[in-house]
Amino acid sequence: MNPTRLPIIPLGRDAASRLLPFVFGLMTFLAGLALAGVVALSGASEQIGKPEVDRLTVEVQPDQSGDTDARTQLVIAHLTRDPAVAEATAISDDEVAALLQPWLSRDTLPGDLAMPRLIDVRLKSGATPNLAALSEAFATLGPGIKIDDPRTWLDRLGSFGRSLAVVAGIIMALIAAALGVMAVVNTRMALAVHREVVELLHLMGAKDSFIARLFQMQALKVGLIGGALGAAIAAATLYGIGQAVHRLDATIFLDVALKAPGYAVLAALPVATGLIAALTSRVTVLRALKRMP
Amino acid sequence: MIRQRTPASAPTLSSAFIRFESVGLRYGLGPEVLHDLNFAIEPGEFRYVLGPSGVGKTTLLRLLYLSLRPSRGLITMFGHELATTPRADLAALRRRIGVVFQDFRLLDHLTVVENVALPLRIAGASEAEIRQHVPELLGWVGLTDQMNARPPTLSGGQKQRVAIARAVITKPDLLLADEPTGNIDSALGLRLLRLFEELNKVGTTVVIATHNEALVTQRPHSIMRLSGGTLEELAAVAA
Ligand SMILES: Nc1ncnc2c1ncn2[C@@H]1O[C@H](COP(=O)(O)OP(=O)(O)OP(=O)(O)O)[C@@H](O)[C@H]1O
Ligand SMILES: [Mg+2]
Repeated sequence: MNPTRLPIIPLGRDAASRLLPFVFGLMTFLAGLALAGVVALSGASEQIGKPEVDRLTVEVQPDQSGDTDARTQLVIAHLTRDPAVAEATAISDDEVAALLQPWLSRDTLPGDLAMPRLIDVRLKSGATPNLAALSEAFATLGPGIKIDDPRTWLDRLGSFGRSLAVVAGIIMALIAAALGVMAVVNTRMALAVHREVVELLHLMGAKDSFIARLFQMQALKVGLIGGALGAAIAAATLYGIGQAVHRLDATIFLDVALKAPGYAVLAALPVATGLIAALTSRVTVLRALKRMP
Repeated sequence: MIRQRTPASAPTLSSAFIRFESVGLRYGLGPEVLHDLNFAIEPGEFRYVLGPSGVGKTTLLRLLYLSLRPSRGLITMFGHELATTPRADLAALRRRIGVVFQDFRLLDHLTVVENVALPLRIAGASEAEIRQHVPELLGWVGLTDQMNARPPTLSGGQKQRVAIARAVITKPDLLLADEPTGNIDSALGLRLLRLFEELNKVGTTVVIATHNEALVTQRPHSIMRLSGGTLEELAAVAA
């Protein structure tokens, strides 16, 4: 007898169905990139979320009174009264000039340029100063006193990263939805092409689940093959980007290269693609069969 | 015409094997092709449906193999009143029916063996059962040499024999054959009828629709003659 059993319904042989693995592959590829985005961004914002920054800077701008030193001392007095502050020291003019060096050469600095005073504040580890109260107190000392807390913008960067991760997650969900729609459309087409066979099986007393399984297994197969293809290309792409970023040594680009758990999730993508395709295909066939007598 | 509805509370079980009560059928919004059909078929009967081309023989068989729902009236199959039988239970009823379609409906992408094996696969038979029974039956209908051929390469008569083999492979309770010998010479036609008779002897109820009265067998049988969309007479003939 025939050793290789032929499929009861010759699915996947028409021109449109032959393209399907590549469409599923493309979808999975995009989902892989979005997934890398989720992993990298949520990882990065995790790190940014709890920065080990234990310093902040207070800037005192000179005003008309001219006595910037006295105001600086008052600010330091306020600062040291905050229990979170370990030490507050004014940075000398020379040091400020040194900081400005890259932008303004010493010679070109006019001697009478009113330079702001900077106060370097070291915090007790884990402690948070009451910035609102401090700002209020500084306001009574006149304008131009600014607290420069690196944690404020790091927090903002962190939540920006988290919202980007959410966006990437939404993109993944949309790709999954598009994949489901593709599977439904393809199944409907296959049902139309093979309508006579489906009707015959139905008349022979095949249960709906028997007929649905034929379509569902084909969708699973195509989903797994296409998904594996897409995930492999996504992995290669991300590896390449990771290498490039590594060479640049630019941590600002965040860590796009997936870490080991990231690759594991990437490997699960073809399974997800297969399952989405199989499930939507099954539901589509069952609904179509309900319309038969 | 108003479509008759059965209340959901109507009893689903009836003692009748097969019964038609005031059955009428129209395709879509067309005229009634069949009307006022009243008859019963008892288990083990051998019955012919006779009548000229276009009278509605195929339509009557389609009602019997649950491919059409009647526009009105009640049909009882194997004791189940169809209108009140849950959809999920209909598949099991269909598996008790073997059909030789007038246009065969063989699957062109499958070999002869796989075509005949299909009802067994649907019924969940084992591979061993399939390997044993299918070649045996194909031998009976004289298709041993064509076992691995595809239907498009077969002659009309060979296709018909494949269709017959597929219809009887599960030893169904009810065998419906629509012009089963139309493409076959009379010697082979009689041989195939003999197959139907053998099945009938072991309990299969057989209904054959044909316009060819020469086919009517020696075996005790009854005849339903369709004319003008309804039954003209029901004659029992004892051989
Ligand atoms: N699917 C359909 N849609 C609409 N009308 C149909 C359909 N099938 C059959 N008919 C009509 O119903 C009538 C009976 O057709 P049917 O096929 O039952 O006749 P028959 O007795 O089997 O004929 P034959 O001996 O030629 O096979 C015909 O007038 C036919 O045109
Ligand atoms: Mg006919």
